[in-house]
Amino acid sequence: MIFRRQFLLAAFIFGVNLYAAPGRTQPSPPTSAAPEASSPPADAAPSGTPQPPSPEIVAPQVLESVDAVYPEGSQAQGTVVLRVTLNPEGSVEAAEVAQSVDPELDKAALTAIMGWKFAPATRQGIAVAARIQVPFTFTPPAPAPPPPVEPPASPASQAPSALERAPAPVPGRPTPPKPTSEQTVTVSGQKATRVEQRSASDFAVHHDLLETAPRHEGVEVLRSAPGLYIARSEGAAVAHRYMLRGFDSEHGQDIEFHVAGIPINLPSHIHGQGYADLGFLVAETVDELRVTEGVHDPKQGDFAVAGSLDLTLGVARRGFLSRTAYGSFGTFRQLALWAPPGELRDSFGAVAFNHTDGFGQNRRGESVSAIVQQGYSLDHWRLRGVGILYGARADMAGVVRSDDVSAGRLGFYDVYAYPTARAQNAFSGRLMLGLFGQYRGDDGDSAQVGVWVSDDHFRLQENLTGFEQRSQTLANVSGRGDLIEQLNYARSAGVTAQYRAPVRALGELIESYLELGLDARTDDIEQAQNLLDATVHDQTWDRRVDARVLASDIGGYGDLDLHLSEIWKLRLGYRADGLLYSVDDRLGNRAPATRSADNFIVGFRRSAMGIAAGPRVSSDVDATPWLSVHASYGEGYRSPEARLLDDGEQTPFTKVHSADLGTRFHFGDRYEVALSGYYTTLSDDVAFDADEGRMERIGRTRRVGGVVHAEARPVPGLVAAASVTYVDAELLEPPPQTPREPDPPFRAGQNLPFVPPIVGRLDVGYRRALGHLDTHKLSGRVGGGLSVVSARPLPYGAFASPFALADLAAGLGLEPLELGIEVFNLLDAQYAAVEYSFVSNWNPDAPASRVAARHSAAGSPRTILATLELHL
Amino acid sequence: MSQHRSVALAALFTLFALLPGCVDTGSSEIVIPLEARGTNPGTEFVGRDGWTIALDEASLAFGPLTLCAGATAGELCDTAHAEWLDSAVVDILDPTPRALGEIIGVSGRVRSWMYDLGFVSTLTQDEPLELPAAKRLEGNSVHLRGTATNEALKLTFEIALPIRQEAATERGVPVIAKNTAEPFDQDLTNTPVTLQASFDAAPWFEQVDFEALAKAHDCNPTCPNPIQITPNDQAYRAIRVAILAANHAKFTWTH
Repeated sequence: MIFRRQFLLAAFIFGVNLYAAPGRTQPSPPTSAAPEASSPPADAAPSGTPQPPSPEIVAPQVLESVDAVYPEGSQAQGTVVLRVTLNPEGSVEAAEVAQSVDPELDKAALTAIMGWKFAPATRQGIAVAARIQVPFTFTPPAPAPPPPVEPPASPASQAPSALERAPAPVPGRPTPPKPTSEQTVTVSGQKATRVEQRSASDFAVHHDLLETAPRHEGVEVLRSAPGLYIARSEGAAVAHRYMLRGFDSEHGQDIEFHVAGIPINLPSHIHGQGYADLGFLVAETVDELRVTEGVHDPKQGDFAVAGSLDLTLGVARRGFLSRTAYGSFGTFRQLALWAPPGELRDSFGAVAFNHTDGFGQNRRGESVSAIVQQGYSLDHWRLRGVGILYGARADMAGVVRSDDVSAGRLGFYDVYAYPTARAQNAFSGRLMLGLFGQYRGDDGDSAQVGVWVSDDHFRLQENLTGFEQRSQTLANVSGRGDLIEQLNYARSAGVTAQYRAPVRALGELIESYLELGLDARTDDIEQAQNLLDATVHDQTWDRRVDARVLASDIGGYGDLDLHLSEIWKLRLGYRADGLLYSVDDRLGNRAPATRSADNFIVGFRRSAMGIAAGPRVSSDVDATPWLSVHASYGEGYRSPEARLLDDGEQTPFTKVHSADLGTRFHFGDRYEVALSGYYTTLSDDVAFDADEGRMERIGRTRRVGGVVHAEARPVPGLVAAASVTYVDAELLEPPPQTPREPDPPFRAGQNLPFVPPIVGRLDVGYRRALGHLDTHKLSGRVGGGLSVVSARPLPYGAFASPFALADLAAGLGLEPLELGIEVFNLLDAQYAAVEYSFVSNWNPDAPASRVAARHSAAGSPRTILATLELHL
Repeated sequence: MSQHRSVALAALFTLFALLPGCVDTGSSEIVIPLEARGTNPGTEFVGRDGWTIALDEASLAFGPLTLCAGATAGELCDTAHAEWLDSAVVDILDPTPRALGEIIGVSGRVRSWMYDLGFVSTLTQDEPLELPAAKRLEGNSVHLRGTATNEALKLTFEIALPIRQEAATERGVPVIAKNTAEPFDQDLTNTPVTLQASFDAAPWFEQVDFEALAKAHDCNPTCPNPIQITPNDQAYRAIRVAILAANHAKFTWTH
């Protein structure tokens, strides 16, 4: 017997098809209403009590339908009834939940309906707008033979006026009903192509939660990920700094990011390995955030050290949206978003422009982002194309010494007065294109393929240390200001493919699936690092890096998914990645400025290759309907900064061992709590080096910690989530002393610098309809977010201060308008977005200190924005 | 129930507040008092060729001082453990310890030191900075005045010399750094300890050729009073070399 979890049944019943006549404010009965394509449809009967249509009226007919997917892990059941508005073209213009069962089921139904296409309703042969009700009946997964079709649970109860039942459909593909005015059609679905949650540390943050707290920038949706803290420390054109469960990931070195299927991390970036700038994100287009903490999924590739974040783009609310925000510090944001009604949820186009004068000196910034995504359903295939274009430029204030601030020599939000400090700025531009296809077969098999290309340009001028540098190129030249210029130009391309199918060979007693996957990418990177003299028109006075790096990563995996019993799932996977590097280090083997280089030619070319391989194993036990226990283990890797490799190095990567153990509790369908503990080791970690403005190796490390995450949706419209992550991060084997560095800043056994032991996050949102004003719907919303970051150690015995940040948003809508307010850093906490400890000299007219001092980059003070939305 | 919630919340925030105290950063901030004293309270000492020397005045512009982790300081001490960035005039003839200020830094083992004598070379200036102590000595690092006698002559001399980084050496590096042979090893912790620098001018005269000085200044039968030792004199160069290379401050830790 095969325990196939065929589950979903959806039935739709055309209960009512209604419309309003021009100028009418009250709903009209179908038989008397004048057809008007542009008129908004309106209900004429209570929900769930459909009226027989007039003979003149022809109900919409299903042309295309998309299966609803039963949410993995859910045990909820029941019938979700959607109220769906169709336009005269037969597209789904809007859908809302008329009868809710469970947020996840509601979401599954809403997701599915956006993929449906109809022949429009007609009256007297003329296409008209219509509103119909579509019930989706979900039954929980249960072992069953593989019948392709199951009857709807109780269609009659949902649609007492149903006239007939359609022929049995093919599983996975809904059969369009025959054109009748009212009918019931059974639509068969199938389970998700892949089980997503493998660990208690895997989280899916849904759209309703993502839109609770205000989001200054699109990337701030990441704040809702448990254990993730992000900070904007270098202005609007440089990637955020990410910290996730004990990893100071800098600009992304420890977190694997995907947006709409495109990998975001850039290997061997001059500003940090795995650099991931998510500045292009538009918050309104982020549909879901999947967080995989730890390494246990064979899909996880390079940079999945602390975990992986996968952002899905999509727009639930269809139509045109204009959103304007204006407020403190000359902050202005304009969004134009077009989500064509009737198109799939993932079809939209958005353009966002941001400007700020900055909350202090030298902080002006601008950015523009355009995202276009189009989805198609084609028989067994679902295709999606996505294009992202982004550009940003911003002035930077850099860092200030804490002792200068304490002594009143400089304000917390100020910048040093020297030209080398005022010349700090950054520019970034990126183009990404991707084409993805998802196939679902009739026999439980599925496949995904995708290709993507990316073109990224990055330029930075930053001075962290003041006047500490000597030229390595010009003899006896020093002290012209440590304005580091970094350039990185990366052209990347990649492919991804997965195929998953049931495994018959294991017999009928064990339901099993095998997935095979391939990820490959290649990067062609040009990079340079120089020192500039800001007093002489940014004249170059030293060259530190001039290199071309060719990097390739070809990875493959196999994943066997065994359902050993009704409650126990075991997944055995193995992944291997071949990493190849070729480096043309044009400044390699350079002689010191004080020595002659007449007898050789500067330059150092080298190559390296290695294979990072390891198992990915997870086990889930559904001990009770409300309790599941998860255990997982995986070995991952992080590719190196290619310029640091020796010729022929055989293990050009950092090895990661990651283990998780945890439980999930479901209290009813509305509350969920996840508890997990984890243990992670890295063979060779890195930490920030201010002298060079980049990451340097610090040796072997380990992290032990735990995550508590709770999510609640106690009443419709109210959603809340809270998480606390604790970690003890320790340095095990720091680099040995060298004559050049007789006193390394790190010692064995010390806690890792920059890592906050505790990160907490709370999101709460509530929205509800407030009635009608005239014929316009009145609604309100309020939401907030609270981030708490504990004190964290810095190099050389210093501590960064703890802080808490509260954000608040509220809005009052009178369709099609909504007026709102967003307050960031509500309590106006003066906090450092990032703190360092290193040697600097910001007073060139005094003896220079050689002792490391605390430095900070100011976080944004309280910022208040007024927002105006127009939704058509 | 609400009481339980309050207790849980309080426990959580207590944990949050206390936890950083358990974090091991590998080092901590330290403050160490710095003292200086002389060793030659006006007594006579014998120099080269049997000359007897007595000093009436010996002043030294001392500072800044840097303590480093490596066995050798100088160019290999870009990041130091502790430092005193000020300067002060030390009376080398006064054996009484005098407080100069506080050395500030982070805990850890220090095995070398380097210091300047009232002038600091920086990466940003072509000429070394003149600190207050050197200003007090009228633009000099050292001011010495005394008499030298032998069987035939008695010389009264005076020397004032600035000691600062030369253009030929690397900018930004102090003029005096510990030799590997000089003992210095201390684990800086939060345990109270004082660093005392003691100076002895006698060794600076070991290579001074007073015969040549007398000859150069026409001391037959009488000398100018006092003889102003200038850079052209062997004595000037001998004292400068002795201060820079051979006869440094002696550093001792006192609890």
